[in-house]
Amino acid sequence: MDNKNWYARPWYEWIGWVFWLALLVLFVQSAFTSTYELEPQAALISWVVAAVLVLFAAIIWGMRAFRR
Amino acid sequence: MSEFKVDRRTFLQMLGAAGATGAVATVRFPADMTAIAREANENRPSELWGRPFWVKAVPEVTLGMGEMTGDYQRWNPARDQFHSWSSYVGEAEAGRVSELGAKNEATWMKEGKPGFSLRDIALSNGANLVNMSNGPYGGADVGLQSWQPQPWTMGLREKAQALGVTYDVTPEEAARDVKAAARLYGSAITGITTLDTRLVYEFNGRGQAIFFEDVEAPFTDEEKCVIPSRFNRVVAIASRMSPEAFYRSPSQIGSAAADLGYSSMTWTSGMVAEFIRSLGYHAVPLKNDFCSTVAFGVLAGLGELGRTNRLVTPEYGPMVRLSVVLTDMPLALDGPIDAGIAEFCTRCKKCAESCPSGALSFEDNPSFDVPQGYEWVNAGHKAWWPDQTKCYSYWGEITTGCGICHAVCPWGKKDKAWLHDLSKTTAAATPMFDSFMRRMDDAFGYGLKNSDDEQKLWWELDLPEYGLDTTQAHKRI
Repeated sequence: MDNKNWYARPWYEWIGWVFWLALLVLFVQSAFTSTYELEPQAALISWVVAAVLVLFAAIIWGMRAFRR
Repeated sequence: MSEFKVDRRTFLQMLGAAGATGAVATVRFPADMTAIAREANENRPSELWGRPFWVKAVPEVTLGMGEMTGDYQRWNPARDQFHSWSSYVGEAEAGRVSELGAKNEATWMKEGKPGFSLRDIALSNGANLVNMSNGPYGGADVGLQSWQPQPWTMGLREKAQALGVTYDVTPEEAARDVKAAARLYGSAITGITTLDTRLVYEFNGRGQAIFFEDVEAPFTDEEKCVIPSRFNRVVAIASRMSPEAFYRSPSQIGSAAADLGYSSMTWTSGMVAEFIRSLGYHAVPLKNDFCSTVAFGVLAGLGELGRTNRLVTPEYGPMVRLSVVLTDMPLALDGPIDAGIAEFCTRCKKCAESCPSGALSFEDNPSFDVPQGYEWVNAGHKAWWPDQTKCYSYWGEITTGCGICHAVCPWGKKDKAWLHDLSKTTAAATPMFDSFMRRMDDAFGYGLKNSDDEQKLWWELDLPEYGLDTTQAHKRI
């Protein structure tokens, strides 16, 4: 897979990435609103989960780039 | 085969539920869709007015907790823990608790213990003003809880009569109007059910006997309260308590939230009654010293009966206080709801685990069987039965109401985080993830904020009026 057709991946993988994006949005939103709701522990956990999700995506993309 | 119709509203409800909860929810959807469609086809437009889409109308109270057996009797509040605690626990224990309570109160006031200092007690006292203006418990037909039309209402009635103007609407329209007025006066959730006289106490908190008689208007005298036997509707009202204050339970700050809830009950039910009387009908506003407001609340669909033997609403959890208005106004009926709350209670048990006095039941399911010696509860229906004497003894020791069971309830969250909506939607659709969500509730640190630092911090918070986000669960602001 070269850089020009990075989007050429099976349909089920795209579903996985949509699910990943939904989770990321959910936890980032939870992180911001938990602060607003005076729930610092919930905010912290939400930030950690969001960070893990971003890290997971970075590792996947990194592995792909390395393979190329 | 019965005809199955799905209107636009029902379709959107189904679509929303399906999208939010995924494939797992389909396990229960066929039955739920049928129920929702059936209710929608029964022409009861007021039924789920203003409720979240995942709250479903059901024909019976969840887990069979609405059924009353022949053993069910009208309640005499002289039997409850507030009136008979010392006889239940014995004079020696009552003396010990009273002595300890007095000592704690004096020590904590002198030390300025956060949550129990003079300013905290003053906070609670101020919040209690409207509630206590009717006298401590059992204030029928007095002050804001008057059973009679006020002079300005009589003037309006006379003017309308002279002009030949009447309030001529359908019961559905009348129900909508009452709910809109109640919301303005402070009701977070309003529901309407039939008046089952068994749920009105035999005596009120002041020992006046309560009768249903063939009279034109309700009245009271020194010995009795008389309600017209033609009254057949109950408007059930949920008044919210400030979550951020109540999370400080047990303390005078938490108690202030409850006291303000009682004051809100007083003015809201009184105003709703006056609204109904202004339209030419009779109305009797009541609080929980006169009837089982919890039972009426469950039957009117405000929420479900929880493990605490109290009402738990889908929107605010147990963070509400309940009052009712009995009336002869023709109003369209609401019915019980299922939001997965009682089912969640069978697995969660967080309130029972958190109760410092061990008063709450750990039984998996509610039961008709009242434990031996529980004279302070009314048998003849299914519930989780609490040991109210243990609860009340703890109140005595800490010199204020407790409230921990309400504060830790996972349903009592604020609603800005979408995760909370997703969790409640999922719980309403399937019990499969109830235990997981309970564990997440612990992990995210929700519930009590009753450390000394948190008690002091409350005075620094820039909270909205009444400590409430009044946009919670509502679509318009």
